[in-house]
Amino acid sequence: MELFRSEEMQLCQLMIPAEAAHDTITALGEVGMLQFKDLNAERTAFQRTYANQIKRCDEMARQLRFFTTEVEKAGILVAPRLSSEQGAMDFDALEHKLAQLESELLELNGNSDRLHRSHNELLELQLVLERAGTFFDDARSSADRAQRESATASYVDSARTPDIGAPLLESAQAFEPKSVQLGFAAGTIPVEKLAAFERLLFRATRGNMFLKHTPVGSVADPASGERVEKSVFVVFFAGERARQKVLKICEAFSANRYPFPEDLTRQRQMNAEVNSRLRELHTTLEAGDRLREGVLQAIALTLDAWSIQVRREKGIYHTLNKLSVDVTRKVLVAEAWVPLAARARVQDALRTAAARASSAVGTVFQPVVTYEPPPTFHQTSKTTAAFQGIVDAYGIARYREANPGVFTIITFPFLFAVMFGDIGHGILMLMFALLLVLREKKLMKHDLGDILGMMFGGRYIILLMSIFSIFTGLIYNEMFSVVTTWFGNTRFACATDASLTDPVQIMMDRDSCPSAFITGLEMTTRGQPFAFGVDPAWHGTRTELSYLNSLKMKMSILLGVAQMNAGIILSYFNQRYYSDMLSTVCEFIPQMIFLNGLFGYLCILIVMKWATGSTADLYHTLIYMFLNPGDVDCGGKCPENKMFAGQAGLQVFLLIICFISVPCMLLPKPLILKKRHEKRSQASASYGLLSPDDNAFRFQRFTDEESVSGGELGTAGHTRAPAHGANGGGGGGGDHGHGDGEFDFGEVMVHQMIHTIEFVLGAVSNTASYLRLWALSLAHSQLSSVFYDRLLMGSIRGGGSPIAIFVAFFVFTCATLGVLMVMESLSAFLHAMRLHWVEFQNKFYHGDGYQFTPFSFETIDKEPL
Amino acid sequence: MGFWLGTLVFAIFEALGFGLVHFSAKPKPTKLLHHTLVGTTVVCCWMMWGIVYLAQMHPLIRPILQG
Repeated sequence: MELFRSEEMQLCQLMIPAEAAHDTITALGEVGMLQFKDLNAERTAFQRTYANQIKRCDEMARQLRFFTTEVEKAGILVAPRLSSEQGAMDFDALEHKLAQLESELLELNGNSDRLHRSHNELLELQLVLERAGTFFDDARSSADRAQRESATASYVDSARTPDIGAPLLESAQAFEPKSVQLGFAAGTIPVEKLAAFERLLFRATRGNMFLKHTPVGSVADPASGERVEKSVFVVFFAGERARQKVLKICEAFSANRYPFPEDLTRQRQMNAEVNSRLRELHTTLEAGDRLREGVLQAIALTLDAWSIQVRREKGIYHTLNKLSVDVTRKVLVAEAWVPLAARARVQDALRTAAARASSAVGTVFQPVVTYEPPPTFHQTSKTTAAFQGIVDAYGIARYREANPGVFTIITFPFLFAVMFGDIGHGILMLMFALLLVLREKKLMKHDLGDILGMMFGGRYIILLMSIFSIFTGLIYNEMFSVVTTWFGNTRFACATDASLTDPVQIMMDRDSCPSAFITGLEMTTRGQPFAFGVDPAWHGTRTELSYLNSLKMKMSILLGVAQMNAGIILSYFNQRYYSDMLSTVCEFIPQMIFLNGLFGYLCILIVMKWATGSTADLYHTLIYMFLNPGDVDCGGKCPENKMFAGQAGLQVFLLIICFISVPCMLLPKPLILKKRHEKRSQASASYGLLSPDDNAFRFQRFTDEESVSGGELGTAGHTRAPAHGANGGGGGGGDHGHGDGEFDFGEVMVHQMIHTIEFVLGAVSNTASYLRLWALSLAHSQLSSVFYDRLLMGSIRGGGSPIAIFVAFFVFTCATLGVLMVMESLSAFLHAMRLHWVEFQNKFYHGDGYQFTPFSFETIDKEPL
Repeated sequence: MGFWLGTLVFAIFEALGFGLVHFSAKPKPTKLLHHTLVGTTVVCCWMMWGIVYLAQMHPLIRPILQG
């Protein structure tokens, strides 16, 4: 029963010899069909047996993450894993190898950092030598000039060597000729700190300093390695105390000071030295980088394989931690849920694993009786998975309950299309869906991001939605809100001249048929409408909206009642499956009667009115069915409301059975359940009390016995009571529990009352809720016709220039794509989803199960490290 | 008359779909699923068509041209 119900599950016990445990779990991970139960739930993560191994795995994962970032930083592509053998090695060997590689890489990184730092330092020194050299050259030439001036002015000692301090001491020279020697410091500083640096220097030396600086652009900072806008500065000061202060300030501003010889020849010598060292460093750096890249390339080759191996190892140890260990007997006991269909595969895997581990005894694999609800597992394919996702997003199905996903595959895109009916928009969407579906394999490999990834996941939903949209577009006869005549000519003609059928022609020549503008066109042959879809004659007429609204509203009601009926029928399938006759009689039958007695009858009236052309007012009929039962034609005042003979009698009958069905839903079920419970407790009292704890106790003893007798590769499960049968029976209790234990009549009664009220009120409100089909369909067609008429045709009709038409077309395209294709489709999607979740599923779907999450390498491989 | 003819066309589509699924080389549970899907599709499309067809048989409002 693919997808109709979840797979049958069985709780199995595995007794795995300790020496083969790792190999066995690996083999089971390959199969990926076991959901292990945590038998050590009371223990924390650190108290578990394999906590140490998991810690090691985490450490290895950290190292692998480090490698990944390094490899990515170096711009090397990580090679995908080719085969399971590639790079495979022993866990310990891998751990050792990873640690070794990490320390190697760290050392290489450290070396290269150090080399880079000295390289940057040398570069800065070079800059300082260059720029500060020019300061001194400038200073020297101006000193020369000053000296020459002073020499001509006041015949001072001509033997004096040119002093670069001369311009600075210009004013002091007059009364205190040169008693202090000027010192200086040169270096680099980030440009943004320069102003503060200068201010502080000025204050600290009380103005007795001179700072000269020039920006050198962005330079790699030796300390951080980042590129920073920097300036070269030279600061001159007087005296030893000032020197101390300046040096401290330099340090505080993290300005890098460099030695700068005053002497020109030494400067040149130093420059040459720096250049040669830079060259040397450059070659060293290159060699280091080559070495590092070689190491990284070697890592990149096997990185993916290693990370998959580490992930799997971690998964294996996590699973092993869930097993209970029997230290004395060297056996690990596991309990796992297995789909019945996968048991043979699991047993095969166990056998091969035991052979591979060359263990003396094989794993014992046998079913266990349990009263726990099994997990829900729907076997989906790539096409059905997304639809199942829509259902699962509401709630995971209860074990083995009817799966609404089967019908959702068709009805979801269909209801979407009812709201999104337009051939043109459907074709646009179809092209997008085909793009995704046909390039599936290519796109699967890429990371598509959030939004596109979500669309890619739902590509088959979009495909079906688009196909149904084209169909409903054909029915609505709309293509970008333009009418088509693909299915023949209109069935309407001028009332006075039957040969005039073309509305456009009549519009052109208004005198040919004046009645078309007053009373309208007439159908040529009543009872034989346009064969497929809405007649093109309606398009653009004054009565189009009122006609289509009435049509679409009634259509919404008909579709809604049909879908709700389908939902109630599904609830019957659930009751039959769980052999819950009581619910069938006390819920299914009255529900069917109630819904169809009122709204099913309304649907029949709608169809009848259409088929006969009656002018009956259905609102009036339905309202007066309650207000004045037995009187259809308002006491003769509205004879058109009487549509068939015996209508009054039928309506009274329907009203009566609907009223009777409400207490039928409410009362009998809780009362019968109470009676059953009393009977059972009386019967069990005569044999002595048997509480559910007894079951648990029996189960406990059962498993104990087995673990004693177990220990050889078993003929597993055949000696057992049919466990899954017990499961089915257990689940069969359905709403009213397992029949055992406390029976709280009040609670059951309240539950039933809520259920009944929900259904009765829901029948009205849900039917009304289906009107959203009409509302959204109306909004869609109105929006698209506004965009077409006002934007595109408006500009053409206005006799616009080609540019205006082009602009209008551009705006029209944007509006169609942005508003209709994205926003409208999104809202139609959400409304279709709501109709399924609420109106359809609340009729039968419990959705209180839990998902089957097997231990599988396939899923582990996809997880991030 | 026309309604039943149209219904027959949809029935033929259902028969075609049924045959296509029936003679496909799929395992039996998958076939059952596909039969359900084909059936649901045909019923949905038929309902949609039938509703619009029936609604136009005796329209109470006439198309009045604008102008």
